[in-house]
Amino acid sequence: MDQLSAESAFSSVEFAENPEPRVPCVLVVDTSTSMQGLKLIELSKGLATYRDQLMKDALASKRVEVGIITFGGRVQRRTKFVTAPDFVPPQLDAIGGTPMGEAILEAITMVEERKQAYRENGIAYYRPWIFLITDGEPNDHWKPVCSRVEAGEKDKSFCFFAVGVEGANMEVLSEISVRKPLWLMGLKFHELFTWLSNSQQAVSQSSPGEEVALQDPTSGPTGWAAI
Amino acid sequence: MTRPSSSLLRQPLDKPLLYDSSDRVVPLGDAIGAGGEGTVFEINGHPKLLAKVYHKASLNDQHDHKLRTLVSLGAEDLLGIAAWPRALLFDPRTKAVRGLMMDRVADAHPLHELYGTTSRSRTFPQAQWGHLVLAARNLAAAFGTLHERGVLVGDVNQGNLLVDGKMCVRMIDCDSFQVTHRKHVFRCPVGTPHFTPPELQSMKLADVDRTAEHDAFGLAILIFHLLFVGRHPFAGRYQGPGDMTIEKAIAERRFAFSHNRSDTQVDPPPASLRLDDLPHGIGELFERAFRADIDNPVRPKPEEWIGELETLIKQRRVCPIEEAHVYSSASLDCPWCRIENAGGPSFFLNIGAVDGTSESRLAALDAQLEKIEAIQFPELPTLTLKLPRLPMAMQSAKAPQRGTADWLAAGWIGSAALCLGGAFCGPVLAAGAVGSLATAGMLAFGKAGKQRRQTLVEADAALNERLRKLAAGSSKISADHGKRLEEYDAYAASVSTGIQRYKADTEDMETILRQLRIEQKEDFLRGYSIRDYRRRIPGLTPQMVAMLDSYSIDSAYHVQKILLTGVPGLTPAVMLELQAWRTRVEEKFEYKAEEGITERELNADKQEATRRFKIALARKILQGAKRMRSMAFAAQGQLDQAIAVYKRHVEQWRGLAHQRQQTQAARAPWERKLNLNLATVIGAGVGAPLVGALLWLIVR
Repeated sequence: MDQLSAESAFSSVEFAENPEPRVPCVLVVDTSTSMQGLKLIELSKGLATYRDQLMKDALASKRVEVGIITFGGRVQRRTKFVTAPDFVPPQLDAIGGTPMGEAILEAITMVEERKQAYRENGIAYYRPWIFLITDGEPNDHWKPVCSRVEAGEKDKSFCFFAVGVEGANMEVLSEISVRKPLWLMGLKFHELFTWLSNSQQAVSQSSPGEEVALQDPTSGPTGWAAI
Repeated sequence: MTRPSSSLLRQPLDKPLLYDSSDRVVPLGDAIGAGGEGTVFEINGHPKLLAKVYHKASLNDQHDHKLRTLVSLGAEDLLGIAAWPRALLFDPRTKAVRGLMMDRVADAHPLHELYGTTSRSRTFPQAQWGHLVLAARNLAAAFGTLHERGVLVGDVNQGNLLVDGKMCVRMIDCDSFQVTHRKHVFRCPVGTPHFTPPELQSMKLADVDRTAEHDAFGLAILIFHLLFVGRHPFAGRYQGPGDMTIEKAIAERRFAFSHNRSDTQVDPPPASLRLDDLPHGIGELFERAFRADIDNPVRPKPEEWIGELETLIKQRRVCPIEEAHVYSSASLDCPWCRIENAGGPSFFLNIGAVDGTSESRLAALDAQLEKIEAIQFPELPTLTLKLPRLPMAMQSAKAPQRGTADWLAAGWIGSAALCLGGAFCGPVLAAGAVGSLATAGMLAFGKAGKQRRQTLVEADAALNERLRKLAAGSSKISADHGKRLEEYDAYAASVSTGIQRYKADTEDMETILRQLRIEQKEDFLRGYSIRDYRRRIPGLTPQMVAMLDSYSIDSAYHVQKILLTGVPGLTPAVMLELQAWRTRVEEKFEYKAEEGITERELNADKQEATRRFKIALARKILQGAKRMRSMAFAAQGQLDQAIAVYKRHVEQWRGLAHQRQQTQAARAPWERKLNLNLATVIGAGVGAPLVGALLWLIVR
């Protein structure tokens, strides 16, 4: 029998209603048991901040799209790509191990699918962001992921950022990420997401393809990272 | 460039002390925005003014001169359409230019708030498509004013324009514009790639003298955004391999909505307006703007846009079904309904009547559906279409004028009487015979008698011919009307199915959707004619096709085992091939959610999906009712016209018939009978003497 793909069935309305160029961003969030407690609470608050910050900017709220993948025990797509007005931060619960490799591959797939939807609907887009947040190290096959990330960065298919929260194996992260992984100071998730939103606002006001110099997250009163 | 960025807003800003040109302090108020170049402040005591202060303590000569030139150019017409620099701000110590003062554009919003569907409903709730066209017209006018003054925008983009509730457009960030002073060009060093013409793509803009042609490209892109509710003219579905960025598409002139699709290789995006929905003139302007020759571009000037857009505003139309749908009279049906019916978004909502939720829209439609009165298809007036009969001959009041023929006929009667009477007297018989032969002969061959006969023959021939035509006309009227009625009935049946579905309960939605899917598939299969695909079906000969045809099996839909088995001359192998072909066709079928919802959405939220389905359906029904009404109206018109013509012909016939009867009535009754035709006259002329002679022989 005939198959109807979800993308083509639902997305044409969304894109026709808002044909602005898109800045897609996948948050790949570690929800393994080690994230339990304050870390996840602060991270969830950070997501709300992220949404609120994006909403303040009329253009960014039309252009920046967030998708969320969690990995705790298994990899899950928690939020499909949505713009800020439709973004409801999901309830995050810590459970299971850290299948980080699979999660990153899933993020790459999600980005590719989204790009296909953009192409089908005549929507221009900026280089997608994949933003990994973890406090541990992968417990699955993560080696093959390195070449995928490197290839993606090289042909500008996406930008890959890795943020390590206390407990993260920064060595593994720097092997995976082409860019230097960032170390989150304390639990400055609020600052992290404010920075993310500001950077994406700046990107969303540039033109797709244009390189935008990002604010340095390691310095200034709003700094949140160490290298 | 002073695009406000909230990140910088949070940083404390020290307010510099600045003087105006007459060394008075300009009291800076709160900072309201900041960008890479400078910060914008309010001015205390002057709510209608703003001050832009550059970050750099001293500007280079070029920049200094440019700002002075800008201020010197400030004229009323520019101040009306732009936040044009009114005065300079100076450092009190060094006297260097530090910034400028300009008008605050109050109660206005960036252009994308108007063309973006969601932001429009919030910021400009009353704005319909006509407003967007008006904003486009005013935008062109603003460009026109600048160009008249020799000013070029340079960095055209959706961010340096503000539009107010009256759709008046004002430019901001004027210090980046390109101006010329005594042949010195102060360039605009920046640009926005999505609005940059192909000839400037990937060029270093600081080294380029912009021209009006470059601005014309950006203007056309902005107008396109407005008319096509946010769509970029170069964002489409690229059919070629690889990625197609907007910049590349612009450079390669791949206008996504172009009529010349073989050249551009790009299809327009789904659920959007099409170029054909706009008047031809506007489509032409877009084609010229986006497909212009790179080496020698001649793009539409602001005045050309103003002309075409004003015509469009005057000739706009309001959808009879959704009041909020405004569209160009160039398109036959409402394009917004078309987009919505195909499952697209509602770009425009009637804010006054509904609040945008599906419940309220459904309620509004319900009320409209109730108003569909029983539509009357005109009936055929069978009485009027009866063929006319010959009228009774009216005896005229005064005695008719007797002519030669009448006297001749009377003479023959006399002669005939003589003949009969002459049976007893030979000479009388002879005289009667001579008289009878003479009068009959004269009547038969004389001019007067001949004419009488001929007039009758001609009149009858003409009447019969016309009667035949009348009969043909009458049956044509019936046939035409029958055909229209059939069409109407078929349409009415589909509308009434729609109404039944509309009235169905939420629980029945699955069944209805399944039915819709089946109907769509059947239609799809009917579109594949066996005759057209004969060569794709191995072993199928033209004879077999003809045989199948005679069994009414002519499309993939009819290829069903139960139907095929009855057809003679069809080998089992061909039968299998036919079924395989049907399967292949079936695989190509792709269900289009015609009413905008699918089973999947139904499962997600049954109530909401049902309401959306009903909205789409109600709109279809209303459109159907409108069409039925217009069919009935057209049928009535055509029928009236045909009947009027028929009646006129009947009247003409009656006139002729009356004339014939009158002419006949004017003849003496005996003459009419005698002079019926040549044979009668000659028979009578010869007969009377013969009878007389016979009688004479008997009597004698």
